[in-house]
Amino acid sequence: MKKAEMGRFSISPDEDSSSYSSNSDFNYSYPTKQAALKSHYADVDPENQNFLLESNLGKKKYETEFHPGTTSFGMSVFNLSNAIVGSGILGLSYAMANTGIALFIILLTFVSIFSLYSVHLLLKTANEGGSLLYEQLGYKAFGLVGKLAASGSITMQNIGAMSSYLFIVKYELPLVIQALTNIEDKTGLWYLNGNYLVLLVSLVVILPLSLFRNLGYLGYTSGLSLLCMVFFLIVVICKKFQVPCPVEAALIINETINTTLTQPTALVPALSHNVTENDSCRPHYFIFNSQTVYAVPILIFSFVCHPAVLPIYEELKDRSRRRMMNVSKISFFAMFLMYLLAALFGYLTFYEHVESELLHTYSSILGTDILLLIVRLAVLMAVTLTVPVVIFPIRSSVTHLLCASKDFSWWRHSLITVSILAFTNLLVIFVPTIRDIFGFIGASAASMLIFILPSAFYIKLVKKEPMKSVQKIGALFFLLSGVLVMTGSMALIVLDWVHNAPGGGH
Amino acid sequence: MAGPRPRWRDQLLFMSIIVLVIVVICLMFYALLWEAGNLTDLPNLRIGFYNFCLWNEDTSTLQCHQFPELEALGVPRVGLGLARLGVYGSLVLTLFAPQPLLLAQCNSDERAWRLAVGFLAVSSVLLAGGLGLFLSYVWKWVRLSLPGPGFLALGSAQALLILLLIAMAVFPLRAERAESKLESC
Repeated sequence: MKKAEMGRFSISPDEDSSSYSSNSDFNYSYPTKQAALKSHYADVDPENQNFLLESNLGKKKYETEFHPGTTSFGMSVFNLSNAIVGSGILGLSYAMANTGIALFIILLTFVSIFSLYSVHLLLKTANEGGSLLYEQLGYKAFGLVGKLAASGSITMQNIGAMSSYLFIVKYELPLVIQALTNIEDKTGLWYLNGNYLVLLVSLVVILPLSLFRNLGYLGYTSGLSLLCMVFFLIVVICKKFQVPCPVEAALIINETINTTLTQPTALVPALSHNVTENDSCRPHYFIFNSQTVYAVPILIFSFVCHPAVLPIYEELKDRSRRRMMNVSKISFFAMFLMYLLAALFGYLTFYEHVESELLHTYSSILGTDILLLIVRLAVLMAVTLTVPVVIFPIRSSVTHLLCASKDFSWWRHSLITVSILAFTNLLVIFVPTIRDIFGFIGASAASMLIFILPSAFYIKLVKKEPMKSVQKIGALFFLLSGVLVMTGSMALIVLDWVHNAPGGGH
Repeated sequence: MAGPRPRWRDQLLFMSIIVLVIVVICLMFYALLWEAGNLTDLPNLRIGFYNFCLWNEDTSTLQCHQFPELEALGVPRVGLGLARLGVYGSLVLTLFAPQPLLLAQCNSDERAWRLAVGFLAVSSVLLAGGLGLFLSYVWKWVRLSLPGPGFLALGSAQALLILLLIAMAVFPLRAERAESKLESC
């Protein structure tokens, strides 16, 4: 191909492969987890957005119509960061409390590097495979099985994300109601029961928003989660210097503060006490216990953004793989720092007393704290508005699997929406803790999306490299490590469930 | 027909809107966090969203009342809860407003702009509602004293929110702004 012809495509000549499918091949930007990606297709009828397309499969490279990206570098970094960050950040302190600081940092570093390598494989495969849709790559690599594997993993990951958001509602909304109404005794009050509240929120707020045919303004609201988590991180850092240790002493102090709230507990200085600093107030660097098995799945769950990578790549201005990798490096590094700080300061506040959902841990120590009330309100608003966004791709995926050829029907649309929401609510009510969601989804769907699928697609679709090349061998090792992580984590988590049936951590 | 406004004027107006939003957030943080939501904070009277302390003539001290007593004084639990939800919810919504504002400016996206306007409008309504509801319960005590800095800060925030909404209504995102995107975006 001549240099002049290359100029038609927004790809630098040094890229080793460069192909894109037509617009119809990737006309939906996944709001995975809570990424509200700025897309040209935000308002396309979601029931007609081809999640599981089979068109243009036979097209060769460069035969397709080129769609130039319009999103700037900075905005792409924002979109990808937004796709990465999610409810997983609330479970990281728990992971650190069960691995120790040093081991956690090692694991966090490895998971972030592996996720970045996975993005590299995905971009290379997309260029070579000629598609910017995750499922489409699956279809091109392994036919219907590949498409179903990709679609199933994305759907499962989204259900996990949805469940974790509803878990946050279940944990935090009763605390917000308590803080607003000064209710002390909470025995038997239905409106302080998380299960009732999560059902109520699902029916009154989430269901009506989920029934829209178009994302509309909801596409923007999910972007608030990044801002929300930055605010949460700032508060976690501030609180480290206000919550005394040992935690047991804080309960006594809390009683004193709550009798007369002459100033907000948010600004009460760390009160001195005579309790001797025992072992529970000393940070540990390496910890191994029955809960350590949850650390890697929680970390993997926290770094999933891969279905959103390709739509962001498609929208990137002056698109090239190198440029997209730079976007990814900045986003992953920013999230690495954010996760590390949140986990570290959360752990250094409560040590081994950290619960599987960090924000909930503060309630037993600080009681009615104004700053935490604001954080809780912000988090609740962000997650409540994000759940409908996550329902969209799940519903479209289900619709295309079950009745792709049929015309749009409000009955079917509503029934699928209600079914998804009902299933997620049942999970939230009957699964003991958010840790189990993080663990199970992190070990299964997230491992598939980060480790197994990108490397499998790369090995199958990138033909120009021989199987004995360093790149292919690297991808093969990555695939094997993914299988190992997945099976190992799942086995250990199931063993933990069997041995600790009541379910700790919360 | 008048030509399009100069680009610098658009940028200046946008920057002033962002600054106003930040000022509103600061005022609300000051009133609700630093001042603990106290509308009146005097040696003989302290009334706020989380404090209700009246002067006790018998003991000559400031006596703080908790909930069963508050209901006897005419402050209902649900009403106070709604008032708190209004003011603290208003702060949360205002905190969320700068992001869609910046997205709107960077991408010349009118819908993001409308979302920001929506956030600020709801925030203004919540603040007015919460403050009004709370004042309706405590007016008989508050009217006898000078308004505290917390009350003044919340009142200023409310006034600025209304000013912001007016400014944003006369500053709609136009198609020609596509050329005048912020370089930083």
